[in-house]
Amino acid sequence: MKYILTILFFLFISLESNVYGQNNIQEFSTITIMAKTSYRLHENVINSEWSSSYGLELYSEMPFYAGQIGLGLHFVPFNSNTENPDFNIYSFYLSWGSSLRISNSISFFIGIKAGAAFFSFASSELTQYERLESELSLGANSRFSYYLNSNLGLNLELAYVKYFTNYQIKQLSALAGIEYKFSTSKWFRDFFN
Amino acid sequence: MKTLLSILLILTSLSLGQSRSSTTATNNKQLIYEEQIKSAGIINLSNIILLSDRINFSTIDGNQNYISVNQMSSFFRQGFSLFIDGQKFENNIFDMNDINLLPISIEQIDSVEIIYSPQLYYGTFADKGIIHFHTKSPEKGFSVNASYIVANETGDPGPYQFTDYSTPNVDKLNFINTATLMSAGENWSLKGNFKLEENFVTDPAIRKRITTLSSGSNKSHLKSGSFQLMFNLLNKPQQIFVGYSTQNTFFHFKPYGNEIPVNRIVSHTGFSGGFDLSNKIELNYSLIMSKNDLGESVNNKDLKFDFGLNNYYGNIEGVYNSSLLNWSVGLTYNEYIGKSTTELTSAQMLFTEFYSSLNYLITENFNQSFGFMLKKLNNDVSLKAEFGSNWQLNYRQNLEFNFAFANSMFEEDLNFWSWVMRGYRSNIVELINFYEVGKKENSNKFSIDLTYNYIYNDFKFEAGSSFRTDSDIYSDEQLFQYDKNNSSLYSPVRLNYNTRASYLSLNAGVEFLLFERFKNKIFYNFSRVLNSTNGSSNYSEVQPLHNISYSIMFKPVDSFGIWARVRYISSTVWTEYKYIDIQSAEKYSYKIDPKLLLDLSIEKWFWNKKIWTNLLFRNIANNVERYHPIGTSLDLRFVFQLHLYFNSLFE
Repeated sequence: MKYILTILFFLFISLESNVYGQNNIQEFSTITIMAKTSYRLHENVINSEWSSSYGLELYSEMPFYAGQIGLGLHFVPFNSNTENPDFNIYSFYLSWGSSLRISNSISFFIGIKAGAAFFSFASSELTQYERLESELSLGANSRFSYYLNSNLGLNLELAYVKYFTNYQIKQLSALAGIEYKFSTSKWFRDFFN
Repeated sequence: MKTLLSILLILTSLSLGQSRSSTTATNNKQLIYEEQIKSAGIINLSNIILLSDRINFSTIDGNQNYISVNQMSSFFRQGFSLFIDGQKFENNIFDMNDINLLPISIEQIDSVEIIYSPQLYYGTFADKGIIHFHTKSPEKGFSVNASYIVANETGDPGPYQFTDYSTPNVDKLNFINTATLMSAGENWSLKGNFKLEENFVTDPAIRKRITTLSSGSNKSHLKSGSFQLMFNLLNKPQQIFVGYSTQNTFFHFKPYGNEIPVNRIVSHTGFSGGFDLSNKIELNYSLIMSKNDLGESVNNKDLKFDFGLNNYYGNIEGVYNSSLLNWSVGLTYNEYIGKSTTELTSAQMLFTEFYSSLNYLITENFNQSFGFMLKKLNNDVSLKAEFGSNWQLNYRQNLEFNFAFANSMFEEDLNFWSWVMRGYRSNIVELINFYEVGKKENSNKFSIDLTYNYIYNDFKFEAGSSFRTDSDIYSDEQLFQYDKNNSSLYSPVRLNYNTRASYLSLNAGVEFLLFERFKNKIFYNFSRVLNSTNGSSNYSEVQPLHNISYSIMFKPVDSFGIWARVRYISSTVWTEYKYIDIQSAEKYSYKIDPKLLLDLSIEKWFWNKKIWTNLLFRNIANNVERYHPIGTSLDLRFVFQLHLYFNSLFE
């Protein structure tokens, strides 16, 4: 299944680049900022110990040499059902993917992401060092965007992230939010080039 | 032997030799450039061996490596030679030669030269291979370069630490900060570097063993600084290099079987350069003072090596250059002083060396080189010689042949045992039960290397073979017993003086561009022990038989690139640890399974190449990656690097 999804992903990238010619968009020429709320769909072992449902995500994206590159922060709070401490996950990630314009007002994005997730435990019994732990996260996401005008849009997203703790934490989330796109200045493009 | 010596002296008197800059006719080496180092996300100096096609290595803690540059087993001594910008550095002590102790940092490197064949090189006869770091020349004006590197291994418990699924914490692997200040004018340049490296020993395979002795943290901590001044005098470059490194680390001392906390101190002060005596004759010199200490670090059993080595090195070399030949003659004074509070029967080892070499053109497409060295310690003399041929078959094809012979005294690699025999004692030595077998004699090493190269535009093919046969080398044979209570190992040492071993290595590789900016490289290396006796049989399978790698480097634009590599390393068997499976209840295994490893690195430059970032994933498939029976098992790791290059700030 993993391999089929990988092949489909690269087919999609190839379609975007070659058939629709959207790679003509100059790299780093626009930046899109998104604010989303997330809802966790998938159950985990940790659900017996902690409960969590809603989270927040801030994300920005711009055209890359191929596809789009993005930078995001996903925050998810976990409240303890037992005597264990509460904790939050702050997941900083880089993403790369490609979007396909379905109509003038709708586009579809599919991408992969990798980052560092920080687990912050709320416990006075832990040392300062023990209160924060970091781990690798890898994932994939797909998103529909509906543009209200040339700058402003709404989006719906499905994201899957795996945290590489010894017993891995897998998280499937649905996200919804708003996005705003604007052109970048020359110094900004020069910096990224 | 006398006849051979006579022939060599006659050849010398007939003005045969070679220059310091072109040491040999053969070119059995690999050059690794900054672009490759960056593409592959290399984080420190010892990591560079991962880019070598032919270096075999093993590691216990994932940071300090036992390596074999001359394509023999990594267990046959760590005496490979280390150079920075033409000056030799002495890091090796008691068979641990940690490259990271060199006082330069990764962002300073312009290229790395790895030489696989034994040869005369900068006045040293390097029979165990050479790694030479060439640093970048500063641009005019004032420049500041810096790096911030953090590497992490996956497998933390995360929130599961509070549940029944709790597992030990796996800290970050490396944390590295470096800074280099540089300035250059018309005829001079100045570089100052500071490096801070922290490595964390958290793998369950070694954590308990280390904490048995270590009363502090499980962190290895390296600090180094260096100062380098280069200037032109009488139209020739002169160099002053001062470097200092200190490292609190866990020193795996094989005769003892376990890691001992130590405070390594390595310092280097070197002057080198040359003068033209005429338009054909030049004089080169090198004066180096170095200090290499195994200092004490607090530990639970108060174990201390109480040992250090001071080295005073002076070399002078005359070189005659003409269009048909270059010839060099050199003399070296190489004095080592052992330092210990125990009384040594003789603390001094003074080696005097005389060498000469010649590189001459026979035809326009065929040149040969010949060199030899006589090395004297007290009343003993050893002889080393090399002969190389380089035949440019046509403008695409090249064939090289190198033959080397090295007769070496037991003391030449400054091994632990030669100091013990000179009266060196410490409470660690007292814990080692050893006995000698055979008669101590000078060792003899023969090696033959054959290399073929074919280059056509962006296509390159190379194939080679190396044969090495050693006799009367010493080997410290052990058979370890494992104590489960404190995870420690113990074995008496049988010191065999008359060990013999022969090795064969075959390799082939191809490099090509698939599309524009899409570089591909496939390399295969086969290494096999042909025969071994008297103790070396324990090492006959510690080197993988097959090593295959396929790497791609894709740079669609100059400021962005993707590098990926898949490697297959075949299984190894470590007979010295053959009881460890049963005694450790299979926590360890003396057989190491084959490894299939996939690495991915992504790099991006910003701000007109002032800022460089890299994201590296090692062992993406999270397969078992283990190199030593008692060593760490490396899981999926990820590394982030940020480098700053602010050059020519004030011209």
